[in-house]
Parts: sequence; structure tokens; C-alpha cells
Amino acid sequence: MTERKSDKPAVIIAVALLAIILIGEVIVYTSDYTDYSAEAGLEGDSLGYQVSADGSKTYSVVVNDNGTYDGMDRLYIYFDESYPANYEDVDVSIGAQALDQRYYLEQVVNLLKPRNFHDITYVDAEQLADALAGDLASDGCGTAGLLVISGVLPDTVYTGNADDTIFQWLSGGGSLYWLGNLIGECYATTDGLQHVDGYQELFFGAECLNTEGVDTAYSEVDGNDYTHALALQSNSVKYAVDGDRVPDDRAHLSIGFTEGGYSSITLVQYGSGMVCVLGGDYSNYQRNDLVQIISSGLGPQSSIVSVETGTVTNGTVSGRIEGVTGSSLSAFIYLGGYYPVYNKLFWL
Amino acid sequence: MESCGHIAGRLTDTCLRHPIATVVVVALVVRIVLMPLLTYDYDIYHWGVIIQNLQSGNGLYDVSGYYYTPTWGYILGFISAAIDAIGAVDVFGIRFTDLFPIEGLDFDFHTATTTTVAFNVAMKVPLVIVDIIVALLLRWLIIDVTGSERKGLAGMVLWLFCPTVIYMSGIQAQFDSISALMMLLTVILVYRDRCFLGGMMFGAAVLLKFFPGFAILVMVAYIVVRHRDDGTAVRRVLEAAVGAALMCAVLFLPQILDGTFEYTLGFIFGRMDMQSDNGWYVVVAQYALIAIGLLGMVFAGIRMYRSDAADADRNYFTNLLLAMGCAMFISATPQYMMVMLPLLILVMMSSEGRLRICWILITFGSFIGAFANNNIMLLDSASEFLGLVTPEWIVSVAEGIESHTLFGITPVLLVNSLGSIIEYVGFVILVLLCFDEALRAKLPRISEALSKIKRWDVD
Repeated sequence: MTERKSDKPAVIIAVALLAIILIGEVIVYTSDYTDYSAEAGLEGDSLGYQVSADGSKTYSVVVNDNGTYDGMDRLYIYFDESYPANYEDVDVSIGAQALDQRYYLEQVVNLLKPRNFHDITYVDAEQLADALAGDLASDGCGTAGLLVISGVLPDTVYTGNADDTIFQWLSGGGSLYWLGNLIGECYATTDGLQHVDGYQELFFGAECLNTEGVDTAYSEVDGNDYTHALALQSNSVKYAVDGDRVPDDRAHLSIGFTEGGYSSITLVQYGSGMVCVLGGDYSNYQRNDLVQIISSGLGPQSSIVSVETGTVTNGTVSGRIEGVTGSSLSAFIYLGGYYPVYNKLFWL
Repeated sequence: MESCGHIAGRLTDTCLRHPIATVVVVALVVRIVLMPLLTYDYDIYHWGVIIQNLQSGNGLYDVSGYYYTPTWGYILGFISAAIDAIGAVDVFGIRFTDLFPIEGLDFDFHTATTTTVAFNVAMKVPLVIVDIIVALLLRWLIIDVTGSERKGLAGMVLWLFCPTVIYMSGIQAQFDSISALMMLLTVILVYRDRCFLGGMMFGAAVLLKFFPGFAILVMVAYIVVRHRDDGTAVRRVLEAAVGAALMCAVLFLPQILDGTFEYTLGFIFGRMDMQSDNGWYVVVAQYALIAIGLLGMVFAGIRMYRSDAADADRNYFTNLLLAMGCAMFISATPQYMMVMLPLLILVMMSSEGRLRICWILITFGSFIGAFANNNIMLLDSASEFLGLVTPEWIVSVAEGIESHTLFGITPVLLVNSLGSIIEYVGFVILVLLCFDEALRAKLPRISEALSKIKRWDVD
């Protein structure tokens, strides 16, 4: 009978491994975006900025001239299960929860937190009508955004007429973020969907939506560098806008990826406000782009003044960008590149 | 000045004098060469997303990206803190437009969001370390069981140079070597009567990937058999149960508190849902395979329970292998077999039936299955960040492979299926060998055929 070897090595490894797992658990549930911070301010035409991080992170400072668009700082999210939705079910990764409207929106809210966008209100169909009417009455449309991912607006704000509440609110400066289906093609009543004729003209003044079945883009949009500057990811152009077909009297900004003239993201001016359409059925890439667009404060007249990137490692990095001029300037700072962990927007 | 011959001679002498160090060094060199060059894009992209989510203040299940039970997420949390402390990885990955076409391939578990070489290495280093630890522990156990240093060394080699083990830690960055480590630790701790710690490890292992759960009845039966005569069996089993329950409670606590517990089992049920998309006959087949796993678990447990105390140790390992071998029928996903590989090697080294053919079939089948799925896309990262080849070339090769189909079946699916079949044959032989005595009495021809393929003596 051979003498038994000591099992101390196994015990030590077991205890160490369990300790690693438990320490990891604490790290997972105590880590926060407050490990990061950013500041920016304009002195004359010189932008000073400061970025801090625990750990090593790439950062980007994107300075925009937004024309007449002043951005918004509060967001309504439309969600009403008593009204029908009109979006396609999508495949998700193995083990992932079905990416339905509720789960998508929950994640949007969770993702907007580290992007320093906190003023978020869920509204059902009735509350939406009240909220938009309230904005119109208080002249507060210009500070408000509305996110609709159900693929259809409720009849409380949209019935296919040019004088519907949604259009008054947009004209007054509201920002509508839309995805999930062709914008305005139908409106929802509690009984079902109602088709609208001429819906594209209502929203854009021309037929410009992708109804052709072109789904996937393989090229980046030319003419601006927002695709890289904002680390945009979704390359689906289903339901998307062809910006070139939008009438000249409406400013538009096409960004992301393009196929057949359609862009994965298009922001189109509507009166003092705008309509932002993200192409494609629900996807994680699309959701990432959505929160990036909302938190960046981009508008249909936005253009890049300057982009500066760098790395901050366990400390603070300061920098200065000269020659920053424009009519409605903003500095959008984010950390993590294509894996953003922290965003902050500064109106200058 | 020494000639090359002298240097080679001295090197050979050194290697022969220090075989363990030599095996470890060669295994490390192989992995270090592969780590920056070849990477499977899809899994490691998700490791980046999970770290992104937790760093931005979201738990494991608040935002899409993490689909397993929580243990791997916590290990990633630890790794992310280590990466932060070192400050070595500022960019996790970049989405490359020129790789978009790979997302539309028939096997669509690919992404154009390509992780950087630094991130790839950071994710793989812990897994390579685990490979080495498993090898050393396996050697320790084999020597403890057989008394043979040479068999211990052979066991190390069979683990460290198994192509699938190299592939999963050095290339795919899949964490099944951690699963193998936790399974092996559980086996050792129970074997050495450290029931509470063994229970804790078992709880954590099952919440990493669920396969170790199929060993539960054998382990309980082993404890009972060992302590049948001294009257402490119930106490020992309770110790293990408390350890496992405590670990599960601690690991699930955050999800119970934040209301995301229902998401933690998504991967298991997600697999079933995916199969249901393929037709009723696939669902029936899937349930039949699960039944094999469950029957194997119960049967191996009963066999263990009926063992004599004198044979308890030997039967413990063979019945564990039987239970895990049957569990492997549930899915021939290449990396899953790693959890039972140390057991297979241990029984190979310690039993009359050497099981060499099983090791060959299972490792070869799983490796070609994994390699077929990912093929040329393994060069994505080296292409974009090292300029090794052009992305256009990768895309053209990938599309070229897919353009040649046989009865509508792509080469990728064909080779992958072939790999799965080879792997399954290995599992079937493994299970049959566990019934050697019964076969010899009732089906002598099959027994005779098996005896021809099981001869192998490392000594």
C-alpha cells in the first residue's frame, strides 16, 4: 500500500478558487459608472476637458456644432400593453431572454444611466397624450424626447392627420426616436392597427422609407465621420430613411451604415424638432446605437467640429481643443470605445 | 563555443531530468504562440460585453450579454479588476465594416466586432493557467491512485496536449477548463473526505456549467459506502449538502435580491428552445439524449451504492466516468467534453480497460467540430490588428467555403457533424466499456471486439 500524498495542494487551490469567485461577485455588484468622470468647458474658442478612470480606458471627445438644435434633457418612453405593437420577433443568442418591447426598454433605461441621462418617464397611450399636450401648453417641447419602439403610435397622439398632437409637438421642438417598423404606416387603437395612406409624406414630406426589403448595409455613410466618432454598430437598414429623398427644406443627418441609399440612422428636421429613425428589427447593436444617439444630443444639423481620442489609465487626463466655434456647440465625451461604460454630454 | 549538437544534447538531458517542467513549458509555449494569432470572435466578444456591463454599473443580467448561471460572470468580474489594476487593456475591440459579411454566414455565431490582441491575451491567460493547474492536480491524483509517477506524467501530457484543451483556452477563450478544474477539485475533495469544501466546490461548479451535476448521485453514494460502517455517512452527506447549498445561496444572492433570478437559467432552457425550432423529431431526439444522461446518472449512482467499501475508491472513479460519459450525450458541443476529460484520463491510467480509443475519438471529434465552426474566422483579430492577412481574404475564403454545398449542407456543417459523430462514438464505447463484465457474460462478441480496442499500457 503506497503512502497517501497530502491533499493540501488541492485544498489550497479550492479555497483560492472559491475566494476568486466570491471576490469577483463583490466586484460585479459594486462596480459602477461612478468609477469614471468627465468635465468639459469652453473658454473663447478653446475647449478644455478632463477625463478620469479607474483602470485603463480609451476615451473620445466629440465636439459638435448642432445648428439650431438645442438637444433635449428628458425622455418619455412609450409603453402600453393595452395597445397593439407592430414589430417583428427576433432571434436572440442562446440563453438570452427574448428581446421583446419590455426587455428592450428595460435595457435602454439601464444603459442610459451610465450615459448620464436620468430624466426618463414611462408613459402609456393616455399619459403620452397628456405629456405632449402639457409640453405644448408650457412651450416645453424643445427639452423633451420621445422614444417609441412599439412600431406604431397610439391613436391618442396620431391618427394619420397633419394636425395630430405628435406633429404639433414635433413642430414645437420635440425629438422623436423611432425604431421597430415603418414610422407612421399604422396607428394603434385598443382594437387593432389602422393603416395610414401617405404616412411618409406626413413625417418627411416625401416618400423616403425603406419598403424594398434591403436589410443589411455593408458600407459606412460618406460625408461625415459620426460612424466612427460615436462607435456606431448596427448595420441594418430595414425601415430606414433615405436622406437624399428628404426635401431640401428639411435638414437631415445620415450616419452609421448605408445600403441602397438608406442609412442605419437618420435624423430629419421637423419644424423646430426632429425625427430620428434607427433601421432594423430589435438588436443589441441597434440598442447600443440608440442610447449613444440619445446621450450624444445629436440633431439633424449636427456636424463634427473636432474629435479627439486617447487613453486614460488609473488617473486623470486633461486636454484642450482649439478653434471650437459654432452656433449650438456640444462636447460629447465617452469612455470605452465600442464597449462604452460612461458618457457625458456638455452643452457649451 | 558549444556546437549545436552539444546544446541539443544538454537540452535533451535537462528535459529528461525535469519532465514535468518540460511538459509544462512546451504546453505554455504552444499556447503563447496561439493566443495572439488565433481567436474565435463570438464568445470573446461577449466576454467584453459582460465586462462592459458590469463596469458601467449593470449586474450580470440587467443588459443582454450574459446568459450563463452566475459563476463565470463573477470570474470575469475578478479578471476585469485584474485588467484594470494592470491597466493593460484600454480597447476591448472595434467593429470592422470589412468583416460584416461574416455575420451573414450559415453558421452565424460570428461578429464583425473584433476584440484586440491585448484583450484576447488577457482573457486567455487565466484559462491557460487553469490548464496547467488541472494538469498538475491530475498528475497528483493519478499518482495517488496508481502510485506511478510515469502514469502521472502521461496524464499531464494527455490533458495538456489534447487539441481541444489547447483550442478552448488558447484560441476560443472558452472557460471549460475552469469547469474541468472545479469538477476535478470536487472529485478530489470528496475522495479525501473533505465533504463540506467538496460540497461548496460542487455548488460553484454546477453554477458554472451544469454537467458536474450529473455526478451528484455517485458522489453521495460514494460517501455513504465509505462511511457505511463507521456510522457517519448521514453526517458527511449533510456536510456536503450544506456546503453546496451555502455556495449556491451566496452565488445566487444578488439575482434573488435584484429580481433577475429567472434569467440565470436562460442558457439551459435557451438550448432547448433552439432545438425546438428545428422540428419535433429534433426535440424528441434531444429529450432522448437527456434521458440517457439522467439514466446514466441514476444507474452509476446505484452501481456506486452497491459497491463494497473495499472497492469504493476504484468504483468511485469509474462510476463518475460512466455518469459524466452519459451526460455528454446531451450535447456534442465541442468544449463540453472537457469537464469529463480528467476523469477519462484518470481511469485510463488506473484501470485495466485503458480507454485510449475513447480519448482519441472524443478529442479528435470535438477538435474538428470546433475548428470547422470557426475555421478561417479565427484569423479575424490577427488580420485587423496585426495585418497577418487581409479581412477581404478572410471574407472571400469564408464565403468560398460556404458556396460549395452537398445536398444543401455546407462544408462547415458537414465537418462539424462528422466531428460530433466521432465524438459520440467515443462516448458510446466509453459507456460500453463500463459494462465490460456484463457484456462478457451476455454479449461475448461485443466484449471481444471491445477488448481489441482497449489495450494500451503506458508502462
